[in-house]
Amino acid sequence: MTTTAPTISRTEVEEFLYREARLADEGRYDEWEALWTDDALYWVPSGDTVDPHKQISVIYDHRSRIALRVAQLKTGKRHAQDPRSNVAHLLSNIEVLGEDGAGTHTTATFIAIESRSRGLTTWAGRVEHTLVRRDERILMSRKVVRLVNADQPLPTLAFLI
Amino acid sequence: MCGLGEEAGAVIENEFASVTVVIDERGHDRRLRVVDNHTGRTAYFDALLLETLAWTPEAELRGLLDPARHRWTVDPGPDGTTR
Amino acid sequence: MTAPALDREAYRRLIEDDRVHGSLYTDPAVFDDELTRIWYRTWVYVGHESEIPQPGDYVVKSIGPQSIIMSRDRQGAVHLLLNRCSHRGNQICEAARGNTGALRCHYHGWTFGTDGALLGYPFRQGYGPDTPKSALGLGRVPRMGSYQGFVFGSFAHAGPSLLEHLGAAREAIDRLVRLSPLGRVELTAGWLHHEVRANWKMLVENETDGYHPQFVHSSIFEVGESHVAEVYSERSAATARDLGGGHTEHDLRAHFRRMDRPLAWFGTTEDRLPDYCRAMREAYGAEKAREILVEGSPHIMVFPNLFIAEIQIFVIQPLAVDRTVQHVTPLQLAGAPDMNRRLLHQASGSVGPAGFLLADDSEMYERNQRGVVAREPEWLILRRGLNRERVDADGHLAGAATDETTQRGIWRHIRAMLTEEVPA
Repeated sequence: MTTTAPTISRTEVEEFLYREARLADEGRYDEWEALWTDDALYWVPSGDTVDPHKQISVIYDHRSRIALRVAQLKTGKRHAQDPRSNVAHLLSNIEVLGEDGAGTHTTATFIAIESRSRGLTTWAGRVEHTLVRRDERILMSRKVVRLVNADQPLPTLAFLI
Repeated sequence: MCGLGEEAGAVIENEFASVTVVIDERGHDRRLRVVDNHTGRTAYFDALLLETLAWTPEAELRGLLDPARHRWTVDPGPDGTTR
Repeated sequence: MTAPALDREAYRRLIEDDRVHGSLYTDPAVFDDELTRIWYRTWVYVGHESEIPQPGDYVVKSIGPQSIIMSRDRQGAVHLLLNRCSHRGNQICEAARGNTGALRCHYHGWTFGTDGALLGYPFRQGYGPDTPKSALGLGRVPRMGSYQGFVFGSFAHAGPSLLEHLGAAREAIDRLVRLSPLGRVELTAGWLHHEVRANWKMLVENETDGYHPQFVHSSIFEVGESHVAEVYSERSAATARDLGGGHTEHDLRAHFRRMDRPLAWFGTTEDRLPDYCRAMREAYGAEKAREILVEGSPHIMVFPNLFIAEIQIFVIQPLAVDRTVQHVTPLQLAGAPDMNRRLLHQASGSVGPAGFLLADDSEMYERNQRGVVAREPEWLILRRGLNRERVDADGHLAGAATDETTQRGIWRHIRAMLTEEVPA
């Protein structure tokens, strides 16, 4: 790309993050998947993950595995999400950390309350996004979810966090 | 922690103790400075001391780990005096 | 609060050869009996020697609800210590792992060697000269044994040796380690800890249940390129086997021998892993290496808590009658870096709280737990394959891949342990 794309504004960052969370919460899987770039990475490290190429992560999905995850959800036979969890994501403390060749880097804290037969589960942590502008749209090329309890036993996490 | 322009120290810690070790160049020979990060207690270990530690038998090292050996030696007795 | 123990006769009534009573999954008194008569008696898998490679290394593991420090002392010997100060019972290690020459309790400073011996306590004159330091070491698991680096502990002071306990399961562990060109596995790729609201036996029974994959995992079979579906179909040549001692396996070798393609069990081909295949040929010779790579990795549930699941290792930890943690780590093979990268990649897709496979297994465990509290019809039916079960050449009961030969074997052993008919 030779021309410099206009910087992503703070308002655009907030709108993107809220929209992404809403699409996930509402189970709008195709629209959520369409927010990713082709070189995307969706990463939820575990307490043991120092290097995701050496230690296991809760989720370490490149683009094709994101597609597989969504496709599995859409079969209607992903029992851990059938019925779908009711989830409400709350995002706060949003900061735009800066911009480089990879995109605009943001960080925020989140709480996601999940309800299913098991009961209510509270998920919380910090979420980092790398956002890029492609044509007229903003997409995410990287999303890292750092759970506060990543080092503790976790219940099943089959919704899109 | 590492004033006087020396190299930054390395923190060596586990869940039981935390020290900063610095290669100290202020003497005529290089030595190791060890700082207990919890108390600031500082000790220096020259080459001969370190060599000696490396030659210290396991049983003696274990003896040194007894907390009453040199550190928590005396507590107040019943009359408030330390014996 | 301890619920009253059930007498032996009760367990003979509750566990029949082809059906078991639902209360065995829900009654806290049964859970307490299981802790006493199974978990604090038999050999339980604790950790792997590769997790503490250096002198001074330690990791915190478990035997059921008991927290166990697995340490390597400064001389290199491995110890299984209870994570409880001998003074006033404080938990000593809070970190999941570390390296240290001694363990110091944060409560009053009592200090122990990594072999568990008491090295001293602050202000010793408060104890006078008669306090017997040598008797005040950390608690230790009375018996420890190791096979191919897998370290087991038993709270029974006497009983069968580890090798006697492993019995026929030993050969499956041999089949696992031979997948490494150096003959060693290394559990160094970190752990996921997945908590489920279900009784531990639901997990143990499911690990060698060949009946469920087509149903529980149909979503990923439909969209992924999984070779697993075939293994558990009616076309499968795999065998469900009761190895005795509560150990059960799915022997997939016949299935993969019929396919006769190296690495088919791993869903890949030799050209994708040239370095690994070369190292295997150099280590074992072309013919043997091919046999190993065709037959693949074992799928065995070593009673009560070690599940070797082909490409990952699970450890089952019961916490309460309806609460269990499954710890899982990708298999890693010494001397096989290219294979290890793929093993890690595949495991992180399949297992753990968000795994394509394990999230659905865990959903079933929890629904099973919610279902089994219903008062009628009281019993769970384990009859599948009784009509076609056979005794194989090694004297083990064997059934088709989808048969409940394995569940019956697990329950036979549980009954023997709860009625204390067998030694630990």
